[in-house]
Amino acid sequence: MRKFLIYTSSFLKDSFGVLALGSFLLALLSGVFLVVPYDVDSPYESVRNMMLVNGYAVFFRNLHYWSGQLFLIFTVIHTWDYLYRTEKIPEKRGVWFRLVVSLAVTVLVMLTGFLLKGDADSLQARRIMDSLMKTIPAGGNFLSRFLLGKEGSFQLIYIHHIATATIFLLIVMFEHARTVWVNTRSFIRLTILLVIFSLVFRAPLHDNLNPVVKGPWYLIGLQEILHLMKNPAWSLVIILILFVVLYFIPYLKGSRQINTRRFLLLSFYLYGIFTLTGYFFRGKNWQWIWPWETGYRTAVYFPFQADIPAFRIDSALLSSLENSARQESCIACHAGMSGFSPSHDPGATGCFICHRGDPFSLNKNRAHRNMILIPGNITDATLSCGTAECHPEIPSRVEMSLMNTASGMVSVNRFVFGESASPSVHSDIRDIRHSPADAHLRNLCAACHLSNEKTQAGPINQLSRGGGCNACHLNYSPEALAELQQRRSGQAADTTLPQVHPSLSVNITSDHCFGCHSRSGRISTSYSGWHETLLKPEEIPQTGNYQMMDDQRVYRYIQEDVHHTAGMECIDCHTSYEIMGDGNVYLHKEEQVKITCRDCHFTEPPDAIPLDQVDRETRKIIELRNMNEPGRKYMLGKESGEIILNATLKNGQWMLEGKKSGTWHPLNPPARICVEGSSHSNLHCSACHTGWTPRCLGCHNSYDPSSPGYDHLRNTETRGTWAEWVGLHLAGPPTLGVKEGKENNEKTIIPATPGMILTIDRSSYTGKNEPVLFRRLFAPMEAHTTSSEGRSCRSCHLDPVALGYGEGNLEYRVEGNTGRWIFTPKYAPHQNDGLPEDAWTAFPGNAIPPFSTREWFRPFSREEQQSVLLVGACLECHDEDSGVMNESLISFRKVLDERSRSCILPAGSF
Amino acid sequence: MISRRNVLRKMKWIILAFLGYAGYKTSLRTMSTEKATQYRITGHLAEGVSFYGPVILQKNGRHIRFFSSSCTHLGCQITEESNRKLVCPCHGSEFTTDGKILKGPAGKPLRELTFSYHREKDEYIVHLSS
Repeated sequence: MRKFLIYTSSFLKDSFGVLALGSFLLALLSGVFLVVPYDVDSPYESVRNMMLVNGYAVFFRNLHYWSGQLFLIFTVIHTWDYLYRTEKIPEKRGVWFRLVVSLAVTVLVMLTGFLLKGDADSLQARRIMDSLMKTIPAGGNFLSRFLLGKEGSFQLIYIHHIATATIFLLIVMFEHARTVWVNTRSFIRLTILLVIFSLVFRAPLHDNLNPVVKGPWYLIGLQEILHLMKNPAWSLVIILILFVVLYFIPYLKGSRQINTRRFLLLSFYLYGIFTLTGYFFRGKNWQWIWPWETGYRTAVYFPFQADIPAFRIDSALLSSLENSARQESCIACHAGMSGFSPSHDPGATGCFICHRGDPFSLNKNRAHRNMILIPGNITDATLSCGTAECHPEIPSRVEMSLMNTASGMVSVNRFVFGESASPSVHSDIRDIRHSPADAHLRNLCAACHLSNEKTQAGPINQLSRGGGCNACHLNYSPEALAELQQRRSGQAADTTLPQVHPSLSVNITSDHCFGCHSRSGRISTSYSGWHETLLKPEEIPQTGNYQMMDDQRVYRYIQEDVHHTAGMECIDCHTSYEIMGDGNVYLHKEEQVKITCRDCHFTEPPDAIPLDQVDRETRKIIELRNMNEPGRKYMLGKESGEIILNATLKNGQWMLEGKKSGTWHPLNPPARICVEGSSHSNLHCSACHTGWTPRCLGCHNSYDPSSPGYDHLRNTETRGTWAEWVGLHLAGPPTLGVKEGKENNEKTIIPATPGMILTIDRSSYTGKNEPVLFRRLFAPMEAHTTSSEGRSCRSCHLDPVALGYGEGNLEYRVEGNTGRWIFTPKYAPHQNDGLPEDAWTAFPGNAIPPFSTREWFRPFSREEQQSVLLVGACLECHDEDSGVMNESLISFRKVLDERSRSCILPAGSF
Repeated sequence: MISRRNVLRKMKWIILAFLGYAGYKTSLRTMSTEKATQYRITGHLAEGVSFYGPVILQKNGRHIRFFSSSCTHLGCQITEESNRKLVCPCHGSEFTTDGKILKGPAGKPLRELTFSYHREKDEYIVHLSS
């Protein structure tokens, strides 16, 4: 350490004391140049304006800052150096006392300089100083008032900085050194060094958007220490003790002095570690972040930046800045862009708030450094869309939402692959590794999550996956698209500034959802009535209703959802809390989705609330959609209790307004058959009203180590890939299953789809001798193919698919006085379990677990099948609309008791 | 011998005490203009947690509470909610949205502030010193 100090000192050709004095004089001199551009009434704005348009002021501010920092550093080294000169009798006690006090005043002059920036760092530092001083039992309040002055005013701080502390230091220096002049050569060397430094490195200024705040570099260590102290007043005691120790060191003898110096040196090293920790590893919300973690560069705030002051500024740029409501350098070049939604107009928000970069620099490269070209990706959402001024509460919700974690997808896949004992565990797609199941996801599914970054400009289309906030909120106007295409085709020069910006708004169409939701459960395509086939584009038949999507898949039209027919978009039902998450962690999608059919289709009127009782986010959406006419109330879902902001009582009728279309839709009550009697009380609406579900059968999964593949999580090409060999893609009315509730033995009948009737060749991936896995798992399904007409009685009670047997002929055969059911399956028995390829359960019988992708979902038990088919037997003779069948809805038991002798019920259990 | 230097040396503590006392009294006289004691919010209050400079609003239906946004550890202003927590940006103290401590270094919950409502002006007056 000492050798290093001697070397540094000899390099600058003078003692550290002289160098400290020289730095102080330079700080004084450069400070004079700041007197005019700095405005104590609006400190932050004046410093920011200096940085934007006044290169000379920037230079002197840099010089002022860096000479101040050097003054502090040289003063500390000089003091340390002084303590080592044990052979020399120190100054008189009074002088030495004042010198020790001057060290505290040195920190004060530095700190007041830090506060005078008036930025986010400074304001928080001022609050901390105020609180710390007030912990001093006697005189703390006075000290705070004396040093900081009135709340919000910088006048007293300014006075202390330029006068009180400075004059005190000058007097003490003069008393100590007997001069305030420095050796000319040393001063020139120091000046050259600092001038060069000031031309390259900028004095810090917080952008007031980054959520991380840091104290001055020499107090970052103290910031870390204070984090560990429940009672921060102790920090003042420790600081006081250090000063007392410092004062007495020269008067200690022998080993006492050496040990005390060692103690101070050790404290210094320890403090250095705290400083480095705070500077490099603290992110937003005081979170620890390692440099190799994703998003480190944007999560950690680095106050020190390189930037050459702009001494000459183009008059056009200056004019742009002067005419702009936002004072940031981006506007100088990019003023006049159009295409923004009103909420995101740079006239109100600026560019920096979304795109970052450097708002204080007019140097093109510098201004664009660390710029977020495509804001809204999850990794940097807290620095763009989610800043405190914009949507701070949303990124943390999205972070936990299923759209981001894909928890169900990961957990079910691992369960199917035999890597998890249960599908009911929480997982996160971003944490998957390289097991067979996880590699399968990487190759086939991992693109569909919001953290998948959007890296290219362009609209969200059928091929889009993920994209953070843009996934839903980005829209390109025809003009913006035309400009983008010009740029892509090379028609526009690289130097041409973009003129039309895509817009960010709540104008969310079902097309935004299509990319991901047309896969797996395929609700996007099903909603619009299209069913995926296995046809290749060249095989599209001449007759029939077919279309090819952008990914070359061929779809056949079946029947669209009744809500789609009415022109409703996804967001007409689904709320922002369902889509972006509500802050809770969910395992599966049915937990995060709150809206139910009965929210809108009710018999008893729901509650509604006025605008002032609506939460902030919903209110903002209401206002953006102009749904806030006076007196309007907002319906609470009858079943979920969620605010359905586009539903209200209009002219005595409960209506739902299309968020995009503005079309009003009456909220019709359920049909009589849905609510009458108790026979169907445990049927979910979707059990009857699901028009059809896609049904995939006989899929085989194996890994091909030689084929080129793609890791959708990392977005890199791979050697080797999992592949699915698909069997059949069918469509038809769904199978029904039983959802078992957690309480009161509650059971609800809901649709199911054969999501996982497949085989998996794990050995093809692991290389080990493993048997091929076979799974017969059905998944609960909200198919989004709602039909206004419910299923007929016969379509459930006499349908082998609905009952879980699979396609085939279900016949009720009466022989004499007995009847029995006979089922002839369409598909041959599967070699693994002997059931027909498309079956969920045996005819007749109980299924063998595992039989579902959810622990609470199962096929009908043997007894339940018997009950369903008992009604089916009645339907063999009685018409659906007959009096008997209508009466059975009220009390089936009564109908059975009063049946005629000619009624022949199934014998035994079947 | 009574010299000017000797007199000053002997009386230095008296002089310092006098200057200190005078300074103290001088600064006291300005106290009334130093600190805002009220914060006024006009118009609609949003549901959930909202930040108004020195004040944090928590509104749950008709149940309204105001808290000081000053962290009870060292007075830093808390400016945003994250994961249903209020995190102090300076030293990492964490509070629930109704001000209770989740994690130190802060040792006290956020200070709840009293307020009054003026119906004619549709204005909430939050008493910062309460």
